[in-house]
Amino acid sequence: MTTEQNDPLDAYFDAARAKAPQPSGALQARILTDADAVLASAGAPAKAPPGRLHAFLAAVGGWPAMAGLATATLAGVWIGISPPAMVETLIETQTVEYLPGFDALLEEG
Amino acid sequence: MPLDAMSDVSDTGLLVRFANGDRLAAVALTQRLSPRALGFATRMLGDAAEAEDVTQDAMLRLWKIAPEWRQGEAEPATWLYRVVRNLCIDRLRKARGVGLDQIAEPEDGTPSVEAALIAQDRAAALQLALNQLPDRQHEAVILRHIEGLANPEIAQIMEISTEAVESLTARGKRALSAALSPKREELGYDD
Repeated sequence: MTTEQNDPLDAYFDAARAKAPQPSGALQARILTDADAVLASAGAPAKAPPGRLHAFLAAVGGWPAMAGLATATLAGVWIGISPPAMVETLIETQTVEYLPGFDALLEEG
Repeated sequence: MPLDAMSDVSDTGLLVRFANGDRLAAVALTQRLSPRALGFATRMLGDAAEAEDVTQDAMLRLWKIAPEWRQGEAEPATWLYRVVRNLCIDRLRKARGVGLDQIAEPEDGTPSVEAALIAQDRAAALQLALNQLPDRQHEAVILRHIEGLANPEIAQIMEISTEAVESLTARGKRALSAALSPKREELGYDD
């Protein structure tokens, strides 16, 4: 009867283990090049998720619309700080009375 | 951590280090696991160049899965053997152009086994005899008797029960003995 200890096949298995193929330097280099590529792709900055600015830009129509909005805002600020002569004239001369006679009512008590 | 100091780190520990950007862990894992992958692939395919391609592909899959590796689930070596096995089966199927179940079991050894025995090359004779085994017996015998794995680990790799592994290795060994013994006796190997 054949046992694990005196199995004639063991000599074949021993011979196969003794002849085990070893990875060449070139194969190991290929494997490590792949590892480097995976590390490099993992280390690349990830795309930031869309934030509030992105959502706002999308709502107003992107950067071109943003440029127009900025120009209008700056123009408004500038007119507020230093109103052109024409604007001042308009403010002084065109007074609109929304409740004519209101002043008279106050005076009469 | 220097490469020498990594000898105490488990395969799983090295994989976690690699996932955290440690290149030396990749070097240590390559030195540890690629010979096993290459040995198994070479014996499965019987072709050194194809076995190298399979080894590289399997290791690449290991690098890619590293960030998602769940500790305690499987040993990296067991996982790698399973990947190598699947890649080899794919290649064998493509080479044959038919399903594995359709491959007929060979009845006798071929003259080339005898030639290897005459050349007193036991490893070559065994490889030729292994190539004649049905695939699952072939895989189980390699993993058990050449790679030296325990039956439960082989069961995980082949995704079958431990009892099925025992049955496959027993049948495989009987077939190997049948292929090798008559020639061995004729040639006076056992004298």
